[in-house]
Amino acid sequence: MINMIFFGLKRKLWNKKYVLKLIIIFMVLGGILYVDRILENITLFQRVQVSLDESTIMYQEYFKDTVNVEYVDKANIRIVFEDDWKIYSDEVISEEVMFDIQNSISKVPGFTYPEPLYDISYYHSKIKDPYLELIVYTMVYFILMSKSIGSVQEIIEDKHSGMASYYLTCISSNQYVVCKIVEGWIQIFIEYICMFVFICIWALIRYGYPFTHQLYDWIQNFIVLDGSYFRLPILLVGIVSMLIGIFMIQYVIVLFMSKSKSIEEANHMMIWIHSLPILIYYVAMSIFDTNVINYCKYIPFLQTLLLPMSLSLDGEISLIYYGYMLLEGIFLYFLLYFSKNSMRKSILDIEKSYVPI
Amino acid sequence: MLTFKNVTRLYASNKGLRNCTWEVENNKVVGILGNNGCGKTTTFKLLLQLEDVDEGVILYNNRPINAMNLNAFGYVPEEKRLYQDCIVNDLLTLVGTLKGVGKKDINKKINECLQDFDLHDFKYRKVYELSKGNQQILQIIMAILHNPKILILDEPFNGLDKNKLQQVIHLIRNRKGITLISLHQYELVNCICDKVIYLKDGCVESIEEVSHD
Repeated sequence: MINMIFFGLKRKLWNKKYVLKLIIIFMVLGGILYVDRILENITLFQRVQVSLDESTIMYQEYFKDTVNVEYVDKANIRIVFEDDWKIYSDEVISEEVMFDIQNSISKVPGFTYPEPLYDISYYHSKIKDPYLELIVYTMVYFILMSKSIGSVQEIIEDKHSGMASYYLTCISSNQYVVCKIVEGWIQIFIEYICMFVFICIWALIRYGYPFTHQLYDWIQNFIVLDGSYFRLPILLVGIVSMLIGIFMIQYVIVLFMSKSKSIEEANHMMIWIHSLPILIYYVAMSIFDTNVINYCKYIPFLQTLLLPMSLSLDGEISLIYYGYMLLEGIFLYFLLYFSKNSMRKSILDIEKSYVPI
Repeated sequence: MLTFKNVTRLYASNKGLRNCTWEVENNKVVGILGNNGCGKTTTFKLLLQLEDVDEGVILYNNRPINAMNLNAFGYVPEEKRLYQDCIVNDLLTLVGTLKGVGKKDINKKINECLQDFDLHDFKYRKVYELSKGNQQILQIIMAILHNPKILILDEPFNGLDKNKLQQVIHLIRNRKGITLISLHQYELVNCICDKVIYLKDGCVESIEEVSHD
């Protein structure tokens, strides 16, 4: 089985197309990690819009457009006269813009040196509760489920090209399906490891030049999560229990899809079959913060999401959770055991007997 | 000894095998001949356990065939079943290891087989770079890599040139174990087979021994 998984991974990951894809991802990630610099350069030749207030509009003849500043009716930077010249802005004003504005103000009779007042009135509230782990579970769930589409399609293609029956002259149908599902998971894992390494490389490059704290400051505007709340043991146990559930769902999808008689029929079925994980997700989401979760977390398939969710809500790993996971594992074993014949018949398209009685 | 005892396998189209009985001794080459749809491929699928027997029993050395390890079989299907985008060596390594060839021996076995068929230069090439005939040879190598007790060849000579044909015939004649072969080239039967089973509409029409004197 390990050889088969290794063969599949080598075939998919060690080819020109995949290497090219990685290079593109590397470049795109580089672009993303330098986005603040890139945007800065793009906006370098764009003039900053500044407006005059009712109190200053009478001096508009002194405020002529410059290389850096464009005077308009309404803008985020406003020049006001309140006992003294003031500049209101909700963003940091660059030195060049400040110089141009001051230069214009200095031409006004009775000029005194203006002090800019920053009127920054917004800030981000950070998410800091079990919902954070929920976000991780949702990500893992949908990433693996999206990959299952690829694995299922591969099994269907193998079935209709005859490769599946060739494999089944060497290994059992369950071994074959398990290999394909696990291969898909490992492929996803490798892809994300590669992306992580690329991000680290770019971050290191930025750490050297230009200074990385600028990027950090820029990212802070968008980050609404508080990473310090992660409870790693809970997250890990939750993900393991979720993987068992995801495996079950993928297996059932393969079981149904492999009954298709042609690739076209499989494509038609695909739309309906893949609504199953979405349905499970929404059912789980609708009941996770109610009492119903206590009863539904025993139900196979729903367990996939409800068990980790319930674990996050409780906030501690008690022995009973290992019991639930064992239950999930036992159900998976029975599913594999009792459906192995059906799986074999589906993949090989074995017709029922037509011997007259 | 491989034995088919009253084996029946019928499909909805009323085709398949009906009450077939025949047997073949070890180290013999058996040709299974007949028109299209006479049951040749069904026979092979039943042996490979890719189909279920409706009635009757298939025995190998007096043991039911489904008690046998799948590694006992080598199979060359009628149509090409190869991943075109993978490297020849990778494909052979996979098939060899799946069929139970040890990691130490696999490389040696692959080299031997590729050299036997003058394909050594293609060891690290992609499958799609091989000609149709060479792809057929590759399928045959995949089937014999682990020295199977029962080798099943479904139309193995399709697309082979004269040289390759001779090499395959030489391989079939000199291997140990039972070889079952389905053919449309009737002129080759006498030089390859020890026994010929003629099928018609899923039934055994006749069985003939071939003398090589």
